[in-house]
Amino acid sequence: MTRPIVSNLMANPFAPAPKAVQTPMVSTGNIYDPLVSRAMAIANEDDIQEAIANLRARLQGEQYTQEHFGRLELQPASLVDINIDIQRLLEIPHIGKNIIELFDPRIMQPLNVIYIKETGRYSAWEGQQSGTAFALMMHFGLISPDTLIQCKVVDDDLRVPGSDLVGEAVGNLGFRCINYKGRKEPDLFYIYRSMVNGVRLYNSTLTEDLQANEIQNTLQAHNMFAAPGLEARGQKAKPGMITHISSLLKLAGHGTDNFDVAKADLDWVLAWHNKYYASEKGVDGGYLITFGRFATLCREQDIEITKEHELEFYQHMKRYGSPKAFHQDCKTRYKRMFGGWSDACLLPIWHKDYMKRGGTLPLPTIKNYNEYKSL
Amino acid sequence: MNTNLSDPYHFYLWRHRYVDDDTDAVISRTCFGITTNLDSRQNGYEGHVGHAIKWAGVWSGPERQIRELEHRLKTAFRDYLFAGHNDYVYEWVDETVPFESIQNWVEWEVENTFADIVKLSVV
Repeated sequence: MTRPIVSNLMANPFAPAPKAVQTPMVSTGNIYDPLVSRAMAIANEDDIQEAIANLRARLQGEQYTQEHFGRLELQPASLVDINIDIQRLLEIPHIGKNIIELFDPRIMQPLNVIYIKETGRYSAWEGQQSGTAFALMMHFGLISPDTLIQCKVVDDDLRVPGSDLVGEAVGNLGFRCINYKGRKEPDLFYIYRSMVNGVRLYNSTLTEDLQANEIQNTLQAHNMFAAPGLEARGQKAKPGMITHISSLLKLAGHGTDNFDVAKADLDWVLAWHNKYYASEKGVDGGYLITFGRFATLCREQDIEITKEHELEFYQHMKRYGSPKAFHQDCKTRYKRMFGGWSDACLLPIWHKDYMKRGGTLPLPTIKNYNEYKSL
Repeated sequence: MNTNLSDPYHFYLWRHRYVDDDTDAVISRTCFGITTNLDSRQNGYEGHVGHAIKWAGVWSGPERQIRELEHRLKTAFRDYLFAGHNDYVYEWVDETVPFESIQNWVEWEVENTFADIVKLSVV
């Protein structure tokens, strides 16, 4: 028979002291790892060995030389064309907001181009958005008219070992390599770290950096730290570790005009976790989503989150075991009913279960509540 | 809400002592785990160590809560779990933590965190 659990907010007094606390946002010691030694450190990894063997077989005894890499040139923008069968459409808001507004010429990358010998013109297969921004800034007098555009040039008749491709076919493959499989998008943690360190190491005044730094201050105030997802894989998550960076940023209203208000929601969610679930292995992403939404809705609907909410929710959470177990329970129930997964069910399930157990504290109205009533 | 539909699961502790070949020191470590079949698990351990073993503590409850209890123990004692060949970490708490501390930790969790876990008398 289920017995009542008396509220006891103490941590287990018999738990051993953790041996180490890990909260670094910057490395200690020398931050410069020489390229060659960094590469050599992974030279014997299976993935590398297999790839090297496959490429060696494709090269059939030949070797790449300097000329195979093309050359760097400075060319007038007027000589550059965009192959519209290779390139995507212009991303106008992206060009405006992310390239022009934040423009710094030191950050602009060279365009990748094929030199068409017959016409004497350059076909750009990569760099269209920044090249277009360059032309616009020149048009509007923000770049001096005599400024040339940096290009990595490959002649249209250049052949390289291990490939039959030549001319625009190289650009066609290159577009796909760079924008698809050839570039691995970094874990959002590294973007977040870059923003925080922008302020802490380099005195950045960018709004996105200042907001990220405020979020990091909130994490630290509640004994938490951000980490890349890889560090939590398997059973490696540590108490206070947050890897669900997208939820963290979204909850705080990062990058929006709402930040100064929404950051209080994040503060409550993390404070509650630190108070009741400090020894959990990591801060569960489902927990952040559920109670982030709860806090946001309470704020929007003028419902005060009281200590009674915290206590009753703590008691209710015990029915699942932990925030992580609640998340898993929701996944199981959703999958059984609908198949797949949608985190939109998290807060409705929490509300439904809480009310079913006799909860009486005021809860905010959830728009999609009825969709998940049957779970 | 009904989160307790499964057959009972068991969480157990047992102690094992061995003599370290290099130092001749007697080392005592505590093993933990969960199972639905204590007899079979006992046979398994006896098969590994070559002598009869006796549970030092057994608690029973719904699967989710028993799994959560084990998860919590791994979290709380993560820095004290025995790491062996190739740094493989096992469900053994190393000799720096006395058995009584682990037992007290479990009993505190059962008392304060889990509504449906009960201690079984060890046979």
